[in-house]
Amino acid sequence: MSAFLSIENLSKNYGQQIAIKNLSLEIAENEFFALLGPSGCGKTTLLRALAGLESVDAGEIRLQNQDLLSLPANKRPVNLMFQSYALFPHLTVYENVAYGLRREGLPKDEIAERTSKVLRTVSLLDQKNRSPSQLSGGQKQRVALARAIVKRPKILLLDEPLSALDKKVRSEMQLELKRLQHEAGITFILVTHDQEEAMSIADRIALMDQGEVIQVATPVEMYRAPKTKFVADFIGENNLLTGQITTSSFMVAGKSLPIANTQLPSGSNAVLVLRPEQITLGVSGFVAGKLISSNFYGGSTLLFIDCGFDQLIKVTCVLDQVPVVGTTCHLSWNPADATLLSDG
Amino acid sequence: MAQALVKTERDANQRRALISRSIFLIPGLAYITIFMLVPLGFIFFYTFLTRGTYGGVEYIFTLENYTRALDSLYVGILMESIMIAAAATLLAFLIGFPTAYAITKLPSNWQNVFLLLIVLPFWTNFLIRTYAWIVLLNTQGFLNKGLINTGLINQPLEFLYKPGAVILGLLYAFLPLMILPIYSALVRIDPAMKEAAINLGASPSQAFRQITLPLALPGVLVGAIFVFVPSIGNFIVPELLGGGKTVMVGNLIRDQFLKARDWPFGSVLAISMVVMLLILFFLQARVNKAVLGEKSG
Repeated sequence: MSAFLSIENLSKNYGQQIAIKNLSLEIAENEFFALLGPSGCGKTTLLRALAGLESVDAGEIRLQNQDLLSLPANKRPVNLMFQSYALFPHLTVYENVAYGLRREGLPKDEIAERTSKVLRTVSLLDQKNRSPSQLSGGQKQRVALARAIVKRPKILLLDEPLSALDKKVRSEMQLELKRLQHEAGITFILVTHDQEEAMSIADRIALMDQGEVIQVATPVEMYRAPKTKFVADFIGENNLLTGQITTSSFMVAGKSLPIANTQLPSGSNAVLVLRPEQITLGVSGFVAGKLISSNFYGGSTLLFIDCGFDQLIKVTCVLDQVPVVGTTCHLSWNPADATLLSDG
Repeated sequence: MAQALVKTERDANQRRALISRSIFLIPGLAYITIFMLVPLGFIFFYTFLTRGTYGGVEYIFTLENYTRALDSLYVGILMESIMIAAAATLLAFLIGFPTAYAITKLPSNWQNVFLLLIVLPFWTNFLIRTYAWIVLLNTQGFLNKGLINTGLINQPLEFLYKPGAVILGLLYAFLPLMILPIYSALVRIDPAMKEAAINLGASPSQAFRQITLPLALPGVLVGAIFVFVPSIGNFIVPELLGGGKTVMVGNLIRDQFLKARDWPFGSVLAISMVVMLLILFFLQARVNKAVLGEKSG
């Protein structure tokens, strides 16, 4: 028994530069999967390799046990929504969406029916005779999406689909994408550098760095139990304190912090990971420091507190409990909530 | 009331912005007006006048110059000129498009080298370059000698003084003007366009025909006009390589002004050329709009 899509030991170099390094990944059917990582981590190369637009040096990609790499790009049951949308400017909205069906040589009325249906799904049927240059950014994006799903691919690839949209349209499109994925029953693989986007939309996330997958997990797992310092730093706001484990505590910049039981040996270098919302302010605490500034985010406020570490400690605080800047705050947390990662 | 005031203020601001922007247009507009529109106006005015005995014009109104232009002799010359210029343009496209396409496929630093090579002939005088073709093509020229030496022919062939030689000369002279606009149209096409077509199931050749070629069409049209316009009005190439046997409309116009001293008739021919070119520009603008959409048209 093997996964719907399995990528095994995939490698790709551009000359000296490594784009993908011996990467393996399994993706389930109907999954909304996100490839997340900083720019240059290889996520787009992986996406393009799936679409057949990029060759690979070694490894295998199997879709339902069928070798995908041996299929030419125009024969793969995989459609890509381009970051630039790549709408054909000399064709109308309708012709753009129908383009892929026409290449399949389907009967005319079937093309018309499927194209109109998809255009209705993305509510662009009224704009079908417009040229792409007459559409807004959000509409262009929906045309690009319609053009990709009308082919009923087994996998839909989305390359930074929301990056060109403003924040409000973006959250609408996120909902739209999720609904479409649910309705169409297609496996979606989304590439993004925006961790919030990946967290809010995907069933599972693969966090990539320098051509390798660092961690594959659901958004909640990845937030709660980051596997490495890189994951902890990349996903969400975090306090990362570098120090040394002693027999009963954690030493950071000469201060001793309490820790729960850990697998890591005493005396080893480690990173203490503390989410801003895990820290509470009180009359006494494990450490104390001066409030440097507070950033208001509507529902909550992020405080920056100088405890004498190499970085300011971030603490989330509800609006009516924000102390005055300059006051001394006492920080405490449940040691069992904090994660200890080895700092290799 | 207050709103109306705000509105007039905004209008005034916009007007001021428009005026300050128009200042930069003045040198160009002045140049075109003084050196192009005003002389063209004179030429148009001359078309209704009578020729002077020793050149110049006499101020007697007539339409005879126009009726004379419809003479089959002149219509024939115009037609042949169109055919020759069109043939040169078509050949320039057939050679220029693959060349431009090939250059876009090179690494970017090599692209610049090849573009430089394309315009290199322009560094030599146009007359000299055209004379060089006589040396190559005449009965004692390199081409005939080469063909005789290889035994393909016994007698030297007459290449010169035929429409074919004129077409060759024009093609040689203006080919770079076809390559450059096509190149710039091709490099501007987002590579994702072709990839999107392939991703949607098009074969590479379908993607080229259905996406790349139509998107390069505006560049092709600019190239076609750049080659066709100087070709049809050219009188140096027909003179040198056509040997006076192949008369094009450019030679005819020159002869009316300098030899026949019939300025009004020469003006009619010149104006008819201008009208033809305006029609070409109009058609080109229409195609551009259709390909690139309303905004960029």
